[in-house]
Amino acid sequence: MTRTQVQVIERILAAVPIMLGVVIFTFLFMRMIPGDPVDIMMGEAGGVTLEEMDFLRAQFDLDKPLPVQLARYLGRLVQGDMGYSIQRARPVKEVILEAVPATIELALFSLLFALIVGIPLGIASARRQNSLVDRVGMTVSFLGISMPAFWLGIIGIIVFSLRLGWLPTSGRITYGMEPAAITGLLTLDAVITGDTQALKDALRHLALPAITLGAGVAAVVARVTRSSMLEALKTDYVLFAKAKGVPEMVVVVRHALRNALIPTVTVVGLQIGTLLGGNMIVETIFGWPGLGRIVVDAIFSRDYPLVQAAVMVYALTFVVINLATDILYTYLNPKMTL
Amino acid sequence: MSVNIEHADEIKRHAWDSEAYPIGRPVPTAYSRPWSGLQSAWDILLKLMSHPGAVVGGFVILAYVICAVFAPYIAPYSPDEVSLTERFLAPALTGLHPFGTDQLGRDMLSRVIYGARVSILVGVLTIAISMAVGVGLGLVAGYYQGTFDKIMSRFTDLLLAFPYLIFVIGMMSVLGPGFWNLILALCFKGWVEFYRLARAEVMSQKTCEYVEAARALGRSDASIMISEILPNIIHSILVLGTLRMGNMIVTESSLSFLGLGVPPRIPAWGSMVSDGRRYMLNAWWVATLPGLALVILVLAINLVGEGLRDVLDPKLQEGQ
Amino acid sequence: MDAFDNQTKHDTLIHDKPDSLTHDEKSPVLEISGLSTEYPTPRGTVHAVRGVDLVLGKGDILAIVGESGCGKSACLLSIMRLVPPPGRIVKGSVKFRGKELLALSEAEMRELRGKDMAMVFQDPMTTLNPAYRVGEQISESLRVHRLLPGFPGRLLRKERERERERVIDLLKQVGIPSPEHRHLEYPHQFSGGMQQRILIAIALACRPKVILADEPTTALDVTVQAQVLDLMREINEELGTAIVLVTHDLGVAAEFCYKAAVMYAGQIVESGGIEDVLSSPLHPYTRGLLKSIPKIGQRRELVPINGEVPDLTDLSEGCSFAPRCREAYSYCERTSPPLVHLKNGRKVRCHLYT
Repeated sequence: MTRTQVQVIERILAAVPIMLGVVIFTFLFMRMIPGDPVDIMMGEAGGVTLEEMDFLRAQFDLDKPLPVQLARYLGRLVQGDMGYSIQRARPVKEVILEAVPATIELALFSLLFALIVGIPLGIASARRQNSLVDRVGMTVSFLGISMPAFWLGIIGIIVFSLRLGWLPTSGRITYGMEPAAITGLLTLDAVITGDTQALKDALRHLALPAITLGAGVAAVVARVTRSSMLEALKTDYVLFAKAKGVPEMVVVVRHALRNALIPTVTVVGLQIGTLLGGNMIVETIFGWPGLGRIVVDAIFSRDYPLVQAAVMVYALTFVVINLATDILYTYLNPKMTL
Repeated sequence: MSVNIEHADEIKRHAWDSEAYPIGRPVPTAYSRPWSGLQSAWDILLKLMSHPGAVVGGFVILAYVICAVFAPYIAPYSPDEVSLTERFLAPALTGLHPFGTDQLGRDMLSRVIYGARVSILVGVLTIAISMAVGVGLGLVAGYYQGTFDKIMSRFTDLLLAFPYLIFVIGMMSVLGPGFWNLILALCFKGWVEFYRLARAEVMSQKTCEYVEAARALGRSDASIMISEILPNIIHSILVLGTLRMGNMIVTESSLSFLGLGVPPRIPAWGSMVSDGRRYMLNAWWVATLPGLALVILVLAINLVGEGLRDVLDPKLQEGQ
Repeated sequence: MDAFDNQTKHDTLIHDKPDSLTHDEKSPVLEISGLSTEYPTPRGTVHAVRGVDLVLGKGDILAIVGESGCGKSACLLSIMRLVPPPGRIVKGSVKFRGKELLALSEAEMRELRGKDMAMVFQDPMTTLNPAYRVGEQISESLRVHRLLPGFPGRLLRKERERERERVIDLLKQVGIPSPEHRHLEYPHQFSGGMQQRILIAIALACRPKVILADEPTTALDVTVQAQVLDLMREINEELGTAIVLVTHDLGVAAEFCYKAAVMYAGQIVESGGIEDVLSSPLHPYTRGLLKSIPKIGQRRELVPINGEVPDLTDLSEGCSFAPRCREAYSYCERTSPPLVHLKNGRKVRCHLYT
C-alpha cells in the first residue's frame, strides 16, 4: 500500500463525518421552521380534518422527541427513503432521481465550456503577455467574473432566442420529440442510439444555459491559468527544456502547462460550488427540468421534505466533488505523493 | 452569480507558503510591516488615485451611493407610481422616461435608482458584519490555537461543505422573507472566509518579533491582538472585503430574482429582472436595465478591489 | 566507460546527421567575437554583454570568472541563443565548428541545442521539472534529437527496453548508485549533488561537443563540489568535450580549468592560461580579486576592491573599472581600452598595456 493510497483513504475517511454532519445539519435546519410544519404544508390544501393532521404529524414523526426523529430519519435514509413530497404526491427519491440527470448534463457541459474556453485563453494570454490577445482576453474575463448569471441568461435569451431566433428559449428538447432515455443524459443517449436529430436538438437547447452557467467559471479559469502559466514560463526548468532543444509547443504543453494546471484544478474545484449554486438560477431562467428548479419550486410550495432532500443532495455532491479534487491534486503533484 | 476570483489568488498565495508547491521558488510569506497608523491609510488613498481602473470604479461607486442616499431627491418619479396609460413605454433618453416604463407604468429610471438602496445597503451591511465577526473570531482562534480553534475548524468545515447560494436559499426558505432575515442568511456563511484569512494571517504574524517584544513589555493578549497584529493584517482583509462585496450584492440580487430576497414591495434589481422576464419579447428594457445597473456597480467594485490589491500587495500583481 | 562503445554502435544504427562542414582537430570548437547582448528594461537598457571575444578549442576547459551581474550567465545564454525576450543579441558572431550560429533559423538552432551544445544550470532543484521522473527527463533529450523514438514508437516494448537501458547507462556514467531503480524517481527524491549529476547526465546524453556550465557547483557542498568537478573532468578527458565553466569562485577555476577569462561589467578584461592569469595577473581587477581571497596559512589582511559594480544601464565612455582602479589615471576615465593580445595567448583590456 503506497503512501498515496493511504493518503487517499485518509481523505475519504475524513469526508465521512462531514457528510454525516451535512445530513444532520440539514435535518435540524428544516425542523427550525417556525410554526407547525404540517399546518404550513396543509395551509394550501385546506379542508383537512384535525385527525388527518394528527395522522400526518405521526407520519412525519413530529410527535416524537427530536433525537428520536433524527434517528428514525437516518434509519430511513440509509434504506433509501427520503420522505414523501406533499406537493407532488410522490416519493421524494423519485422526484430527485428524475431531475438529477438533467442537472448533471447541464453542469457537465458548463464545465466543459469553461475549460475549453478558459484554459486556451489563459495559455494564449500568458504566452503573449501584454499583447492585444492578452489585454482583450483579460478584459473579457474581468467582465465575466462581474456578470451575474441571471442577467447573462436573460441577455442571452433576448439576443439569441428572441431577436435572432437561433436558439430555443427554454427546455431541454423541442416539445414533441421523444428521444431515448437510457442514461438520462440526452446528448449521451442520442449518441448511443445514433439519433443525430435528437443530438442536434439537445445541443441547441444546452447551448445558452451551459454558456450562461459556464461563463463565470471560464473567466476565473482563464485568469488562474494565465497567472500560473506566466510563472511556469519563467521557471528554470522551462529554460532548461528549451536548452535541451525541445520545440516551443512541446515545452509549453509538457513542461509549463503540466505544472501550471495544478492550481487551475484547485480553483475549478472551488468553482464547482458556484456551478451548483448558480445552477438553480439558470435552471429557473431556462426552464431546465433539473434539481435546481425542483428546489425553487419546492420552496415556494412549502414542500419541506423535498427541499430538505434536495439541499442535502447538493451539499453531499459538493463534498464528494471537493474530495475528488483533493485526490486529483494529490496525484498531480508528485511532491505530495511521497 | 458572479464568481470568487480572489479564491484563486488566495490559493496561490497560501500555496506559495507550502513546500509542496512545485512552480518556481517559494515567494516569501508576509513579513512584518511596521505600522504607521493613519498615515498609511492616506498613502493608500493617494496611490489608489493613480490607478486608472480604481479611479473610474471609485467614481461610479460614488455615483451609485449618491443615488442610493438621495434617491427621493434624484428620482424623477416615485418608484411605486402606477400609471396604466403609460405602460411599456420604450426607453427614450431625452424623453420623460429615459429608461422607459414597466408593465404597471412605473418609471424604470426611478425604480432603478431606488433599487440601488437595497443593493448597496445589503452589500455594505453584510460585508461589515461578516468582516467583524470573521476577523474577531479568526484573531482569537489563530492567536491561541487551542480547543476553540479546533472546534471552530470542525464547524467551519461543515459550513463550507455547503455551496454558498444553496445554503443561503435554504436559510431563506426556513426563515421566510424579510430584510434582516436576508442579512442573517448572507452573513451566516459569509464570515467564514474572513475568519480563515484572519486566522492564517495571525498565525504567521504571531512568530514575528514585534509580537514577542509586546509580550515582553507585559501587554495583555487582547491589546496585542488589536493594536499590534490587527493593523498588519488589515490590508489583506480589506482587499478581500472589497472583492467580496460585489459577490454579496450579486447574491442578494439573485435571491431577489428567485423571489427569496427582500420583501417584494421593496424595489430591488433582482426582482425587477424577474418581473420583466415575462415581457422579454416586447419590452426588453424592463428586465435588462436593472440588471445592467447591477453589472456596472459590480464591475466598479471589482475595479476598485483590484486596484486596492495591486496597491497593497504588489507581489501578487499578475504578469510582473 | 565501456558503455559508450555500446552507445556508438547504437548511434550508427540510427541516422545521425553528418556534419556538413569538415572540421579538423585544430580549429576551435567555439569562436565568439564581438558578442553584445542587451536587455531593455523600464529603467533603461542593460548592456549585459559588451563585445565579448572568446575562443574554445577541442577539449578545452575555459573558466569565465566574475562577480554576480557581470554578464557571464548572459554570455552563455547568448551562445545558446536562449536570451529571454525582451533581451536580445545585438551584434557579434558566434561560430560553432565554423557554423555561424546567429545566422541559423530557430529550427536549426534547436537541432543544435542539447545535441551539439549542452547546458548545465546552477540550481538543479529548479532546473529539473518536478512533475516528471528523472529517467523521463533524460530520455527526453534523446527523443527530441531522434536518437530514440518518440511517440508512438516509444510504446513498443522493444523501444521501451532500449530507452531504459540508455537511461540507466547514463546514470551509471555519472555515478548515480542503483540506477535500475532510481531512474523512476522524481527529482526531489535526490540530494543536491545527485541532482547535479542528473543534469550532467542529461547534458551528456547526446554526446555534445561543448558543455556550457553556469555555476554548476555553487549550490553544492564543498565535498560534493569536488565530486561533480571530478566527473566533469572525466568527461572532458574521455570524450574530449570542451567545457565552458562560469563561476565566481577562483578556487574552482584554479582546480579545474585550463584557461580563464575574467569578466567585468559585460566585458572580458583579461584572459589566458589559468596558471598565468592566477600567478601573474595583469589587469588591476584580477589582481584585486586575487588579493581579496583568503589563503589558508597566510596571515595577511584581506584587501577588498573599493566601490561598486557600475550600473549597466548607464555606462561611461571610459574603462568601466576605472572608478575603482588603484592604478587608473585620467586617460582611463575618458577612453575605453581595447582588448590587447600579448604573447603566449594572453589578452588584457587595460590602458596599462596599450
